[in-house]
Amino acid sequence: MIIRPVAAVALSFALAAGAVGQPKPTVSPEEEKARDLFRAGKFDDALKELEKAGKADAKLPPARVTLADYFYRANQGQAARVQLEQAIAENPRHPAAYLLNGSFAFGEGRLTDTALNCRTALDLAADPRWDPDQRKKFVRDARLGLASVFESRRDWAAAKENLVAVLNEDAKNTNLRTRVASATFHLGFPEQALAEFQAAWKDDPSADLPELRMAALWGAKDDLAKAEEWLKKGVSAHDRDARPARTYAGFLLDSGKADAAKPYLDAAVKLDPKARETIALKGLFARYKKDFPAAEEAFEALAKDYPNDPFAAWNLALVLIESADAGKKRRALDLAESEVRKNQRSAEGFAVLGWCLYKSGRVEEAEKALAAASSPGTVSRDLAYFTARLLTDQGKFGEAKKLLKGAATAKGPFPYRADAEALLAEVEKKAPPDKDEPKK
Amino acid sequence: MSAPIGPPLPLSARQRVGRVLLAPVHAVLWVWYGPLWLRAAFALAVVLGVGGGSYYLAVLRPEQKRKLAITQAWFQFDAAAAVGHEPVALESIATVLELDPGNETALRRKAGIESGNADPADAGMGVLTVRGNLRNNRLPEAEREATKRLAHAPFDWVAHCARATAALARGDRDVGVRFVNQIPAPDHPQTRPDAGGLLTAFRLFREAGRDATPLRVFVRNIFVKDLGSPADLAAPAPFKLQRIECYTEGFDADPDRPPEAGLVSHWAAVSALADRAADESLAAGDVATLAGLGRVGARLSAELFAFRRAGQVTEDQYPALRKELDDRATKVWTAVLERDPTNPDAYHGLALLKWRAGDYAAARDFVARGLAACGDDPQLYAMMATMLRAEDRPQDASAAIWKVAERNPDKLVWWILAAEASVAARRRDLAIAACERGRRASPGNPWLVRTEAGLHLEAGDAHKALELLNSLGEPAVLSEPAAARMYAHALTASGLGILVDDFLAKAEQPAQEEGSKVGSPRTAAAAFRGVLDSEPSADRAAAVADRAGKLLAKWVDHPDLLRVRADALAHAAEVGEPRWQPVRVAAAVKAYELARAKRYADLGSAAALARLRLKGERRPDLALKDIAVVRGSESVEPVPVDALEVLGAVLAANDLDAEAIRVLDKVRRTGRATAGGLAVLALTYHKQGDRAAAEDALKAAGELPLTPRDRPDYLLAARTIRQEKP
Repeated sequence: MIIRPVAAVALSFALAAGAVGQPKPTVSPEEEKARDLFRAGKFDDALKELEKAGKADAKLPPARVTLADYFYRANQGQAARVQLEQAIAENPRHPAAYLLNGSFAFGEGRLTDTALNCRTALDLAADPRWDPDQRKKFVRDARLGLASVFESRRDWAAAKENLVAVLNEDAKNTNLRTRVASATFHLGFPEQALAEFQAAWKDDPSADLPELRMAALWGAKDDLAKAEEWLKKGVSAHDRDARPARTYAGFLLDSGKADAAKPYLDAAVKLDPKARETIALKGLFARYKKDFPAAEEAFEALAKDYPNDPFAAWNLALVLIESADAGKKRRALDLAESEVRKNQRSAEGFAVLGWCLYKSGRVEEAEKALAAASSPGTVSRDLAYFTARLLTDQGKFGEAKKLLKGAATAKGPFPYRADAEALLAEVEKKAPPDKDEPKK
Repeated sequence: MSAPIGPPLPLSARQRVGRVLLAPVHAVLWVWYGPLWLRAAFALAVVLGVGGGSYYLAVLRPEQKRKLAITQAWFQFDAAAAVGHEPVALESIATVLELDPGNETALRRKAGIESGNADPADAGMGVLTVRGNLRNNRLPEAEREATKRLAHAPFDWVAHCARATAALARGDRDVGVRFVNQIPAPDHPQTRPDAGGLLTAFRLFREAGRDATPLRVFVRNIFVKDLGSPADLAAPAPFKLQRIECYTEGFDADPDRPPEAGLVSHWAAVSALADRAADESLAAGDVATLAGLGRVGARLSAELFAFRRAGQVTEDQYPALRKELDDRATKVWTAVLERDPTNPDAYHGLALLKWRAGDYAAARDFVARGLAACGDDPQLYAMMATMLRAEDRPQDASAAIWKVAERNPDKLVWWILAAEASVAARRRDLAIAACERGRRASPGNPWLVRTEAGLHLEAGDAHKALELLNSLGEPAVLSEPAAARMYAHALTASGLGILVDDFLAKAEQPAQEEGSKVGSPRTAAAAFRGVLDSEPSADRAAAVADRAGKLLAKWVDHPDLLRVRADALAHAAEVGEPRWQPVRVAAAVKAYELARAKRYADLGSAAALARLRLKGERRPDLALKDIAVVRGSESVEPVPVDALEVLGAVLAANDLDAEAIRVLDKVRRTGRATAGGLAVLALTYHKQGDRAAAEDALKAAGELPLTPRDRPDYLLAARTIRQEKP
């Protein structure tokens, strides 16, 4: 439940697929009308309008391809497929149909289909009937699709080859260069990757800082020492930017070094006090230090500004439930229940609810909620602690010990670290010895 | 009846004696033959007289004597209790109990002394129970008794010290520091601390980080007056030793400051006291006092050197005084060794004496013998490491100490020594490893944390340094100038410069508090220096100078603040645009002149001023004058390498090439020369026509990191020697 603002900020951005910074195509009146008709459920009329638009502008994709796209965006997958198959039957040599087909496949995780469609599109783009602009667009989209497939397959050489081919046509595209840099890094050339990140940052100073990108990549490779080294370099090199200080503070919190994180958090607060990530980190730090009033203040502000952010709501609930005030406890339960209602598939939501119920003395309900949180399979450190507490109360020391030991070795933020360690010490005295444990 | 014929004839002497002798007989006869009532009355009087007299003699008189003796015993008790003399106090109580076995006060007091727990209402007992508990190392009980005592006597020095000692010993630093800060002024009429009490207070002040200046001033102005008095000379040797130790505490902790003028005038008294104490201890075979005299001798030796440096002892007087000290030290250490052949202090002391006298082989022998006799003694190993370093074998020293440290992994002192030896051997990795191992033995040890943080700072990892210093906690960082300096350096160097102003404000706080007794600007000055250590921008350096200037308004002429302000202004002049702007240079020169006026012997500020004259004002002649103190000290005492490097540059600029080469070569041999210093050496060789040496020095300079400070000298040398274009 805490991974989003901390580890995710630190580690995930480099892997974000860059939306290719292409200018938005101008939409003709016919297309506008077609969309309106589609929204009104008049699909045949929409198709007619699109056909009209296609006649006016030969560069537009076939009308059924566009209609299939409309259906897909409207979450009507079956209709979209029908339209697309029909489009391919009508225009078997039009790359746009295969590109859209590839896009559908990628969305559904069918990488091989995506690659085959993109390759077909790439081959068909060579047809001399396409004018240079059309061909360029088909080739670009096909290569980006292929790059995405190879990135997913971690075939970095192939991914890089396709990305570089696109980048050669669009040298100032920061997102593309960033993807090239990531692929280069994964190929084992961190210095070259850094140079690419630096070039991207030079082209667009609003892009992520090169040092933070490097840290994220090393972090993703589980080389936390190198990740930390780059975070430190980031802080040293950008003393007027809150991002590196904030990211490093998050990293240190994740590593269980709350005291060490403090000056970096202080610097981030000074540099960018109103940023969402700064407030989140402040709240999290306060939770680590068990300064619940400060944590409440931070998460209250965050929940107010971002009412749809479950992170704020979960943390606020976890903070409020620690209060001695019955009203605050009630509010914590309301918040946790409301979040579970909003997202029935979120394990973290159930974990927070389970803990709030446990702290309110509703043990049976807590047990159910925590079981629901555990069912997807992955057990976060917080969830492990919550469940272990419940199990300890029920005298199931062996199971509690197993969970707590797992939590101790897992990665990620863990504001309950000290409590978990204390509980583990208590449980170890009472639990039967492990069979695997070597005899002293 | 006939009329009297005349006056009665005078009686002869014989007749008068006869009458007197017969008078009682006449009286008895008169009563005997008198009326009955007279006889009865007489008999009654006789009976009453005899009875009363007998009663007085048998009952009243002994009782009066007993009461008098009890009163005298209580007087004796009060006198003993006032100074905490427990045997006499107990003797007095025993006397009382002998005379009055049921005496409640005596029984209560006896129980109080024996249990170390006095009746809170009994004002006279506090001193005894406090001291008794202290003597038996029962610190919590001593603290309890001290609290009782302070309720009756709020200025009792020993009670204040006992409270603080107990709190610090149990690890409650906040309370301990508060108690130390409550220790009254030593010159308060109700305190009257003795030498032992003063020494305890010095220790507590050091431990709590409180400025000990008031104690030092008391020692210099009041305590020393009685040194060598008849009472002093009559006191037992251990008390004499305490008096001498107190005298040495009167010296300033900063070796760059000249000793207070008054101290030198008491040297002879101290020397006589030390001689007497040595003779008495020798006669009594008191090894502890002899060893104490040996140890205090080393401090006296340092202070004699300070007198000489300040001109308070002339060059003519110095050798004789030095000899006197060394002879006494040799005498006491030899005596200690004779009585206790496993005393490491004696081997260390004798080795030091031999080394100072130039007999290196004998010194080495004492160290070797000491190590053989005493085993893993940190002091002897530290000396051995120093000797190996002097023999240019720092790696051997480091390896030897590491070996012992590995043998004693739980003993902190070895890891401290291993860290020091590794630093000397220029093995930062080993030094960091030693600190880490040491922290395992003693988690959170401030010395190790600071040392390791400093090593990481040197290695360019300011973040790691910051993490380590943070683990000490902000109050600990702010209470120790060295830690504050590193913290400010680490903050600036790690890119958290935005927090520096807040930190400096916190460091300044104690110095700015109105009427603060414990406040001192030393932490603030150290924090300012930490910012300068990180080679800041001209603006930040100017801001530091400004902050130091503001503090100087309150702490007028404070040497640390004056120096750091001057350094900040010089740095701003050097890195500002344009470089060495005359107005900035003039401001820095003025600041150095002010600083030097307050700390004449500070070689660092002399060198810094000379460098400013040379680089900023381009006045080698003035630079040579300013650096005279460094030039004069160079052959007689260790001089910081950076000061030597400036001396070399100034000498070269004044065409004193041979001396310049000698000095700069000396720096080069230390392995701590900068690229700029080597470039000056290369240029000087070049001027002398020694092309090979010039090229060699230039090559060595090229292999070192080229800081902005070194760059101009290096480029000039490269251009001149190799005709390279910039």
